[in-house]
Amino acid sequence: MMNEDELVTIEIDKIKTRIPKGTTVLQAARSLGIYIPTLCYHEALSTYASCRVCIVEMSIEKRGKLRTWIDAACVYPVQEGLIIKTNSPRVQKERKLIIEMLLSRAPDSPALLELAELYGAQKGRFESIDKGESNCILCSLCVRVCNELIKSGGIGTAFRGIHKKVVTPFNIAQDVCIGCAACAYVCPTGAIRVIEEESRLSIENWNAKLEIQFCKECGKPVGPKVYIDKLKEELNLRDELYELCPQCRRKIYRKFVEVSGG
Amino acid sequence: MSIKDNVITKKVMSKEDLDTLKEEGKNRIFPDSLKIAVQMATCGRASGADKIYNFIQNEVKDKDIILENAGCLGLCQLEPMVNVFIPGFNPVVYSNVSTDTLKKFIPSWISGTYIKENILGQLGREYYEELDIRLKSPPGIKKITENGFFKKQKKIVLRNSGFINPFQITEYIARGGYYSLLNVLNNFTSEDVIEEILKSGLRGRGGGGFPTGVKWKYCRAAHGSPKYVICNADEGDPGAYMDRAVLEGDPFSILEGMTIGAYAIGSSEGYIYVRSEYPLAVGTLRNTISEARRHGLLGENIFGSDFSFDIKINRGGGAFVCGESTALMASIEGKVGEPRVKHIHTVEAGLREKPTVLNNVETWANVPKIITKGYEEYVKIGTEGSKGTKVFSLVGNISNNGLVEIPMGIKLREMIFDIGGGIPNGKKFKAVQTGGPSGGCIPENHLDMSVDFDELTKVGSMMGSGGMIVMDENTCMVDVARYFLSFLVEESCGKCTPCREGTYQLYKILERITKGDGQEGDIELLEELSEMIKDASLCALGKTAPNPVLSTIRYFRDEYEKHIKDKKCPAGVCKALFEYRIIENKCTACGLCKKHCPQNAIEGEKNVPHRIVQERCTKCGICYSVCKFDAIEKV
Repeated sequence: MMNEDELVTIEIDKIKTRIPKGTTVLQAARSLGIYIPTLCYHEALSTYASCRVCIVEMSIEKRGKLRTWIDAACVYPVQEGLIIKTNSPRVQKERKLIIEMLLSRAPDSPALLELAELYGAQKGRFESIDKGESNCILCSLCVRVCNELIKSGGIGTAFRGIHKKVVTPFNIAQDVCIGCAACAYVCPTGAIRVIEEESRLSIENWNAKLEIQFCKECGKPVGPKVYIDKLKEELNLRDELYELCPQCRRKIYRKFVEVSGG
Repeated sequence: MSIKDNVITKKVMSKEDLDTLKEEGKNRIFPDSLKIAVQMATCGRASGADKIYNFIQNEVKDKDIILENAGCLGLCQLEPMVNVFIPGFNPVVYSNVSTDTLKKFIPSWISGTYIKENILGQLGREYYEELDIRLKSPPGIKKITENGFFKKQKKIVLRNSGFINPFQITEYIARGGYYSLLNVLNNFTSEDVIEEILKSGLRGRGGGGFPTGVKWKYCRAAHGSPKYVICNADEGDPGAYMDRAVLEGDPFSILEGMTIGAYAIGSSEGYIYVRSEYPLAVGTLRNTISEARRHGLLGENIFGSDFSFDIKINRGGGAFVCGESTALMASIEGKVGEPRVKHIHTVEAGLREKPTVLNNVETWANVPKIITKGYEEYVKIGTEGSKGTKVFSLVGNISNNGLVEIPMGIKLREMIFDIGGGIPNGKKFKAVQTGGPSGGCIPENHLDMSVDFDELTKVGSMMGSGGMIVMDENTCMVDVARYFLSFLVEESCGKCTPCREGTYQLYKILERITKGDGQEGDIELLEELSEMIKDASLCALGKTAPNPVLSTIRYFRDEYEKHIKDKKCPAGVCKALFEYRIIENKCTACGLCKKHCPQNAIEGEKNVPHRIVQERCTKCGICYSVCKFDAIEKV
C-alpha cells in the first residue's frame, strides 16, 4: 500500500522539491508559491477536475523513455521523478483555449475575464449553445457544497453534454433547500441569483422562495426560517439566540459574559 | 434428471454430472428426427425471422419435426437463415428464406433431401468436434468455410453463435462449455488462472487493449473486500453489434468467463451492465443466469466447491459514455454516469471504491476458450502484440455486411475485399472507419496494413470495440467527420470543458464547412482545438473525440480545402456545395426526371434536352437516380 509519509523528489518549474507522495500537483505548486489557476477546485470540497484550467505539462522517465502529457494539477498525485511545467507554451496555448470555451458560457464573469487577460484569451471567439445566458460553467462547486458541506443535496446535474444543467430534481423547489446560499457563495461566475426581498429570500435558479425570520430585538432580518430551524437541530445553543440578528446576539452575549463574571 | 422449470434440478457437482448434461445437449443439437433452427438474433428478427419461425411452427405441428432457435451466424445480410439438421448429416444453412420457399423446402427436408436453392453451405466437423458422433456430408453442398465470407475467418468467440440454442445450457455444455470452469476449480489456483491469461496475451476487447491478465493480477493483489467483476455490455458505437451477437447467440460463454475471472481475483459478486436498447439480449441473459443458477453453475458452492459467485444484471439507461469504465461504475452505484479521473485505478478502487475487474463481453467470452485449449494454442493466433482473434462488424458500402471474426494481423485489404466481398455497384473504395465514433478513417494506401491494436493506432485510428464502416467514392469525408462529431456532441457527458465545449465547437466548424461557409483558417482551427481536446479532456471519450477530424484532415486535406476554398463537395454529398446538371448530349428528353421531380424544377419539351432550374431544385437527387442514360451529373 501507498505510504503517505514517503517523500518523493519532483521538479516544478525547474524547482526541485521533496514532498509527501500522494500530494496533488496543485498542492505541491502552491506550497512553493507557484500559481496555477483553478475554477472548479475548492479546498473544502472533493475534487471534480472538470474545468481543466489547472492543466499542466508533466513528464516522467520510465525505462529510459521520457513520457510527456497534459493533466489536471488539482487531482494528479505526485510520484518520484515527476517533472512539471505549469506554464509551458503547450499549457499556455491549451489553457487559453479552455478559458475561451468557458468565456463562451459566462462572458461577463470577472473571474474569467481576469484569467482571460492573464492568458491572452479572447472573449467572443467561440459561441456556446446558450450564447452565455446561463453564466454557468458547470464546475459543480454549488452541487458539491450543497451535498458535502450543507448536506442538503438539493441540486444536481441533469442532461448531457452541452445541454447539461445544474438544477433541482425536476426543476421544482426542494424542501431540503434551507436558503443558506452557499451555492451562490462558491460560484466562481456569479451564475446563481439570490434575491433578498422584504420578507422573502429567493434563489431563482432553484425556484426557492423562503420566508425570512426577523430579529425579535431590532427587527432586522436574521435569515430564512428553515435555515434557522436546521441550525437549531445541529447546534445546542440557547433558544433565544436563534431569534436574534448577529448584532443583537453579540449584545446579549456580552451581557451574559458580564453577569457570569468571565 | 429432468430440467423442467417446476422440477428441482440436480446441481452439477462433478465431471460425471457435466457429462450427463453434455449427452443431453448432444441429443438436443443432433436429434433423431428432422430439426429446423431459425436464426433469431435481433438481426434475424429484423429481417423477418419471427414470421419464418411462426410459419414453420404452423407447417410442422402434426409432424415429428423439431423447431428450434439459434443466434446469428454472422452473415446478417442474407437473413433470415435456417439451419437444417437431417439426422445423420451435417447441418445445412439456408439463407434468405421466405415462407414461399419454405413451402417447397420443408417437404423435401422431411423426405431427407435438400433442394439446392438458397444454400449457404454445410456446417462441418468444427461444429461437433467435442462430440463422439459421425455425420455424413450431404452430397453436392459446399462447406460453409469454402464461402469467401467465412473462409478467412477464425471463430473462437463466435464459434457457437448461430448454431446452438442460446437458451439451452445443455447445448452450450455439449460444445465443451463449463469444462473450463470445472478444470479451473479442480486443478488451478487463482494464480494459475491469472498466469494462463497473462501468457495468452489476451488484451481487452472493449477498445483499450489493456492486457487482461495484468488487470486481473493487480486486482487480485489489491486490498479491499468485496471485490467485483463486471461485464461491460454497454455496446454503443454506431454500426457495431459484436457484443450483441455473443449476448444473444452464446451467452453462457460470457458467464463462464466471468466465473473463471471471479475465481481468479477472489470475487463473489458480478455485474453485467447491458444497454436497455438490447431487450433481446437482456431477456436472454436473464434466462442464462437463472439456468446457470439452477444447475449450480452460479451461486453458492459452484460445482460443489467452496467457491461461490453470482451475477446481477444492470440495464444501462442509454448513455454512450456509460461504456467508459468509471462512468459505468458510477451508473451501477446509482450516480450520474460521469467518468472520474483514474489516477487510482479501478482494479484498486472501482465499484463502490472496491477492487474491480471490468472487461468487455468479447474479452470474457475468450476466457473459457483459452483455458480449454491452453495459452500455447491461443498465442499461435495473432501478431506479436495482439494475440487471438477480434470480432468486427463489417458494415457500410460493402457487399457482405455482417459480423466477422478474424485472426489478428490479417490485412485490411483481405477483410474488405475477400471477406467483405468488396464494394458493391462497381464503386471505388475510399476509406474505412474503425474504432467507433472516436476512431479514424483509413485511406486506400493503407489497405495493406495488418489489423491489430498497435498498427491501427499508428495510422491514427484505433481498434476500439470493433466497428468497421466501409465507405465508397461517393462519401464526403468532411461530412463523415461532421456526422461522428454530432454523435459525440450528443454523447459527451458534459463534465469537462474540453469535451463538452470543444467537441461542440469542432462540430460547428465542420457544419459551417459543409454548408459552404468555411473560412480560411478553419482547418488550422480544427487542428488547434483537436490538440487541446486530446490533451486536456478528462476521459477517453474526450481524448479520442477529435480522431475523426484529425484522421480525415490527415488523409483527405484536399477535400477540406475544396469545401473551404472552391466551395465544392467533390463527392457530391454536401447539398450546398454542388448542383445537379443535365448533360445535354446525353439527355434523350425522355421526360422521366421531369415527371418525378417533386419541385417542378425540370423544364424541357419533347426532343429538346431538359434543364434543371437551380433556384427551385432542393437537391433531393430523385432525377439523378431515375435517369436511365446517366445524363445527370453532380457538379
